[in-house]
Amino acid sequence: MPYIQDNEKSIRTPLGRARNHGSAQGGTHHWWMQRITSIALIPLVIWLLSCLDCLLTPSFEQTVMWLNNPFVAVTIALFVIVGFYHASTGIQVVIEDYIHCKSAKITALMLTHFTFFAMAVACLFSLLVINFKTNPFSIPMQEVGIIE
Amino acid sequence: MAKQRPLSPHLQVYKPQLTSMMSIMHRITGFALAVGLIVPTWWLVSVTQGPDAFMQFQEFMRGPVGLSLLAGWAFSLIYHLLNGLRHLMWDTGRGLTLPEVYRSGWLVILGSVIVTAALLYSAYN
Repeated sequence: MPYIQDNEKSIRTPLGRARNHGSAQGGTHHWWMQRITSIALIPLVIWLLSCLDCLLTPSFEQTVMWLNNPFVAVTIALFVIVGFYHASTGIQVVIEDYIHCKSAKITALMLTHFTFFAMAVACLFSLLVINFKTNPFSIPMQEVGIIE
Repeated sequence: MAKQRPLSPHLQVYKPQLTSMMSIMHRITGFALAVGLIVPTWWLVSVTQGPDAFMQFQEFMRGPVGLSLLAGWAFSLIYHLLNGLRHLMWDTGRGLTLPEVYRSGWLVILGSVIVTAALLYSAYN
């Protein structure tokens, strides 16, 4: 836990010090993470938009083939991690601004983070399944049940 | 806590400005995009479930509901991206005078319309 030691210049009251109130030194962390993730998302989103042809029309086989490319899988995984984090921290601010009832606010915040975390894990797990159920052993997709 | 305090600004009588409307639009498009993350999730999970599940996903996205949602998300994405760049510029302390804020605002709106139109055009062709 970050902690700034009280010294002669401290303006904390003795009672505040006794109760250990005061800054946890994390006041800008949420804001800063939103900026960092937004910057990381710029190239990721531009890359995704440049792959529009691979995202929109292809058949099932074409999609599996495309996702089996390590570069594609890793980039999509990065988009999922950064994008879902950015989304859930963004929704967090909206909830904090508009929901004032404390119990409803905490419930909404937990549901939001649980949902986005679960969806991100589902995406990453799917990418692993798509990549490792077929490629490493060069087994035809029919044999591992991805294509019936 | 006092419960019946008035809300400021008084939204019903407050004249809408470009700046305030673009600000709330950033939040609305961001919220829409967050909800829209259900699409890539459904897409990736459906691929692991086999061709039938993937077909179901594609049929929905190619239907009238799916295409309208995709068009809305396309605009939201471009607007949120361009206006996000505007916010990042402000974070460096640049472009904060009122004329500059209005100029970058109109630029973002113009850019969003043009890029979204180009995106939808290339998607439908």
